[in-house]
Amino acid sequence: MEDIHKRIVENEARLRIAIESSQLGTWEFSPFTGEMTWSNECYAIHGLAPGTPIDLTAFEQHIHPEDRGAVSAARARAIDPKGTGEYDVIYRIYRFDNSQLRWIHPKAKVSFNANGEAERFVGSVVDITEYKIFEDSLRASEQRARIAIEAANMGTFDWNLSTSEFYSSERLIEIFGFEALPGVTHEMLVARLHPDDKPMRDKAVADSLKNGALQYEARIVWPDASVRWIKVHGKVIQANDRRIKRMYGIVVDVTEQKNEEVLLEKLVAERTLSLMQSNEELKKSEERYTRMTEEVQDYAILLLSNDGYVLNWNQGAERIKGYRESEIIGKHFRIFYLPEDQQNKLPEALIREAVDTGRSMHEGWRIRKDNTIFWGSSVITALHDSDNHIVGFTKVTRDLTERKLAEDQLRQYNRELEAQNKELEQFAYIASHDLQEPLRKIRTFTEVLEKNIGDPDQAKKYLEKISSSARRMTQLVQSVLDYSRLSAKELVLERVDLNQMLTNVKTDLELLIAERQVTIRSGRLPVVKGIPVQLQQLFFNLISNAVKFSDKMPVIEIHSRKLKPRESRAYKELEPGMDYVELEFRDNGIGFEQQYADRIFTIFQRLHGQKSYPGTGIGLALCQKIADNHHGHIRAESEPGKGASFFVYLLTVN
Amino acid sequence: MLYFFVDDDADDQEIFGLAISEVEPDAACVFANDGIEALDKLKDKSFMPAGIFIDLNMPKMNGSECLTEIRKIKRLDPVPVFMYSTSSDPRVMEECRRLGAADFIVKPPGLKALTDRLTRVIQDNELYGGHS
Repeated sequence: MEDIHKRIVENEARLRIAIESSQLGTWEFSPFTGEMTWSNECYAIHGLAPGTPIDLTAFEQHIHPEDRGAVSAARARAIDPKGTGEYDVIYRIYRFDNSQLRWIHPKAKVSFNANGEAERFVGSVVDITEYKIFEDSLRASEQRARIAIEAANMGTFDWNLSTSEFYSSERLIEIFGFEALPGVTHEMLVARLHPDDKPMRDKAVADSLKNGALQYEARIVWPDASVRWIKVHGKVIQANDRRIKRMYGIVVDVTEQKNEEVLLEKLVAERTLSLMQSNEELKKSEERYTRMTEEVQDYAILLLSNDGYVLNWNQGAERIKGYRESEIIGKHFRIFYLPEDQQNKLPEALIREAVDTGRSMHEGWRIRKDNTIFWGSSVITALHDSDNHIVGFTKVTRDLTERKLAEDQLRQYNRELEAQNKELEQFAYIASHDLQEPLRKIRTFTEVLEKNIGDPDQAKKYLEKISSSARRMTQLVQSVLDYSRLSAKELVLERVDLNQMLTNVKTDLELLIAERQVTIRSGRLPVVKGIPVQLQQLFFNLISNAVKFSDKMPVIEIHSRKLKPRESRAYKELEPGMDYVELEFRDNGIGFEQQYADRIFTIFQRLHGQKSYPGTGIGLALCQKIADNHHGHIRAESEPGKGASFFVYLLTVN
Repeated sequence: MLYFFVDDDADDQEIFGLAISEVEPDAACVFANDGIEALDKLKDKSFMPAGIFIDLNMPKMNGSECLTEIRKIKRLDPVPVFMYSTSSDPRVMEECRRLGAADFIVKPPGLKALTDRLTRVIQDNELYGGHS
């Protein structure tokens, strides 16, 4: 007995645990007495402590007012003797402890007495609030989907592929251009597809049966012959037994989009075409321009960066400056200028001028890659962007060497003509003055002689004077002859070693040197381009001149040095771009005032009286003529009493 | 009369001396070898020649430069200056007249010719201290 009792207790406990863990409450109700018996779980569901006596009125009040009717109706059905005797209702309660609104779902079986009166409810109750919330949200999302479908004007269909039953929504029918739903069959819908799109649609449907998804866009033709675009999405669902296949799907009218799309595509195509055309034109014009620039031979056209670096190069630039494009890109443009121009920051000054005034122009000697020089005329123009910021420069250079040389040649001819003119004037002067003077004297003294012919002493004196004048006449005529011989310019310049030249002249002047105790000091002299006879005459004249105009033991120093290009350019008589040496003949003679430095080279100009320093006044004029014949120059520097320096410039032999 | 002759050529000094004594047997002549020497001599305020003859072509200071300097000396205003040269370039002659030369004598080829020319010059010009 005890064992049986124990087992019963154990089983009840197990059952309770099972019920409690499933949160299932159990209850009993007797309609006659109004007595209610609840399990602990039932109390928990209602928010009451287990064992609390249940007041029926309070119980009724805790049912949500809206649900009280439903509860009463369920009770009435349950106790109806003709009914099934089942009580099953879902309603809301306010929990006793915290008035929280909960959904509960009681179920009960009603037992009836012999009179057919309900005697007892025995049932369960479960709190279904969480489920209810889930269900509501589910319903809400379903509703949302439906609203979305409607809002998107989607037509929906449900196609039983096994039975070929086809359900279509009203919207779907509208999309296909039908007015009312009844009587519209699947075949009628399919028939409205555009004939051209039909094969595509059939293939899409066939494919969907294999891969489960349907998707296509097609045209349909309405009865009024207007064409509409539709987009179809579908999904094939297979029931578990694999016998029933259904396809659910939506259909959207995408005509507007499609039209817009087509329009857009057309616009894009048109725009693309016009862009391509203008691009092509641009490319052509750019190509033409580039080719034009590239192929221009007579101008160096280049692009410089903001800070003067070469960015591009054309054939003209290569031809004029000698650099290949690959050698010069990225180099600074200053390398086109002479070292001294670079030193004087000429390139930077030109850039600055272009920045300030928009452009700068310059003409001058430039240097090629092979270090030869050319006469360039260039214009640097600043390039601006739309904001007027300088983005770089163009530099256009022309090689005007030939013009420059022609101009120089012309100038040279001009100078020569002027010189010849001056010479002619001087010759006229000589003829009228210096050559007449001895003649005049001879005639005058002849007259005086006639008067004094009886006096032998006087006669001898005047005969002497006549003879002296005649000698002077011979001397002058000889000098003039020497001078005019120098005008013959067809002589070719050859290598002349000035050391050898000096030795020769010293030999010629041996007697004078010994007599006047002359000291000649010289360093190593260069080899020059010259006419030996003339250079010998030059040395002879300069040395004998130094001896002549000396009041003490003459000391003559001869030095030479190479002339820098910058120095040679200071003398307009010298050929540009050629190498020159400067020879200096310095003496310790009487010197002269610097203001006469030019006059001494003029023919028959003398600074000193005939009595103290006799001479024809032709020696230095000869020296100048010789210097001219050698494309050289001669000049003098002196101060009275401090000696004189004669500087001679001659072409060197490299 | 006292004459002042400026020329760097000793022969010309002698020729002038011979010629002027032909014109005026009692004439006296002072010589200078160049312009500088001439101006130096003229610094002596008691030296007042009846006329000055200057060679145009001289070293250091040429004739026209010398003329210009002399014409700056106030006390020599009454003294006529004659230029004396081999040159007969009219431009040079005109320039000398502008600078204040009384006359321009081209050195003639011969003593007789010079004597004749000097006679005319002395007659035609008002010399300092001379007859009017």
